Amino acid sequence: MGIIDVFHITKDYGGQRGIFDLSFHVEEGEVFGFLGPNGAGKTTTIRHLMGFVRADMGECFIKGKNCWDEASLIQKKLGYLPGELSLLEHMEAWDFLEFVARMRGQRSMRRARALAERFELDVSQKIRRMSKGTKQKVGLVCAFMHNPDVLILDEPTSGLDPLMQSRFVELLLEEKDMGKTIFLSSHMLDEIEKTADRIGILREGRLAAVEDAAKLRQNYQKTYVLTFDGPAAAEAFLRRGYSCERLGPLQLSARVRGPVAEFLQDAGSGGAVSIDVKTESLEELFMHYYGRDGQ
Amino acid sequence: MICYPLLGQDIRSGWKLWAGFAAILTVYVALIVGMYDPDITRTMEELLASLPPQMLAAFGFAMEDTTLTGFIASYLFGFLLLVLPLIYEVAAAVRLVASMVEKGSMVYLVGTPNTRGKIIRTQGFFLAGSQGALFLYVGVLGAACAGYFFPGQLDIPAYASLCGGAFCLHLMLGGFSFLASCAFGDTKRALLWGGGVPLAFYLLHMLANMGGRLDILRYATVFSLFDTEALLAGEGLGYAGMGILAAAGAAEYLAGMILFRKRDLSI
Repeated sequence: MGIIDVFHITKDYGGQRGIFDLSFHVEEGEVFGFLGPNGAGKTTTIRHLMGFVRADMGECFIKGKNCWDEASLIQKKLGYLPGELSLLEHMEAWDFLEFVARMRGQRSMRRARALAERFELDVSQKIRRMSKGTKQKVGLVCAFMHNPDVLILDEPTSGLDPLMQSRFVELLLEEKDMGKTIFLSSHMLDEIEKTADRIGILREGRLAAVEDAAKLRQNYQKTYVLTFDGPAAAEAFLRRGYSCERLGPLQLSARVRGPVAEFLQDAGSGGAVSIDVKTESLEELFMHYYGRDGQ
Repeated sequence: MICYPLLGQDIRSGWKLWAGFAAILTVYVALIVGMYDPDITRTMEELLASLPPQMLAAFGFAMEDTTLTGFIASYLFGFLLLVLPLIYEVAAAVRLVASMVEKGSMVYLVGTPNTRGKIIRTQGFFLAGSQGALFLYVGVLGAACAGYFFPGQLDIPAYASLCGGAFCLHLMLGGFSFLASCAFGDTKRALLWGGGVPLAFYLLHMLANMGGRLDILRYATVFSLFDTEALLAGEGLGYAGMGILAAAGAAEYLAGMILFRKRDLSI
């Protein structure tokens, strides 16, 4: 038994929506990334883990406790960040945090204060007047402040600026070092690749694959847009044996898998004046990953 | 077992709504009790006689008993105390459950180490408790006004049973709002059912009051179980109605809680 065990859960909302025969396990101390496009069923899966909805079929457990029947026992040591945050808007942030702490029977607010400082959150503000990113910080403090063993975070960095995103990654890595089990959902690989040990890919409510993050990264091909100093150089580069596509007389896009040192060298010596990275959509990643290797 | 931190939060965020209704009721109760005058009652009857009697009856302003207690029974318990607290109950019931589920802030109640049962019991306790507090306040206020304007004229036991009967009626009406709020995950349907059904009962009650062939509608509305005449006369039928209303109210609260515990929450 792992920390999070999902056994064949199905929730059919009709019209291909829902999750179907989903099974996976997250081990203690692991960071599990749950990747899928919008509408793939990530939030539905999380609602099952939180005990908010009951599966049509199948069961899921956290630390051996049934997510539906024993939700309140699980919640004691669980931190949750909803994907669509809805705090108690009429309260000040600190009052809200204290309220949730009281609901949890949590005594000390030391960690809450430290987390608020870390995310540069002004806790005296009314939540209603906060920007989306600031509300996200309140949600994060709320998820971490009682020092839970298990964290379930639904698109945790949405709305955060790059600096706060990196502070969040730092925090997550610290928690991981402390042996916490972390379930992270996102529709962007970038958001979870820095921290996840394993990544599950959800597609149309079905788990398409569970991979080691390292392996996925290795096979993850990136597309670079090269701009050359002349049409001839671009033409010459086309014949270098990379998987290229012509975008214009001076521009090519090239798909590269794995280590890029050699490619960069070739591009530089071949007369490229600028290189842009084109981030791939999840669907592209998926197609590249499975389209090329076959199954 | 209820969740005290949540109850505290309910009180902090709900007292304004409650106080608003208490304030409106204060004005009306004082106004109406102060209006009573045994001599002018006759003049008023003449005045009212110029209006269509069906219309007056519909609003419960058909007065046969000209004592202070009878006056209060028809003018206070015939309309104001039927309708105003109902608006409070619908608004509060939707705010406590359905609106939190719709917005998603229910996550921060059920996503804590409290069982759903405990959470929803707390919300129900707050709603029923605040209803009780409203009627207790109005009851004491009405008695105080009567004592101030017309010392010794109020039939206290009869008046107390009127207050109790009205509270039982509202326990039933508010219970239905609570049930609707627990059953639906959106504010719109919770309002439509939780407010619409009690309102429909009230409209039937108004029609039945107009008398004649419409009198048969008396059997189609729960408002008939709050029988002011029987309560004033101290008849058993009045108390039986009260008992039925209270039991139905309790059953609705219970059903709402069971539904909420078992349903999927899309939060």
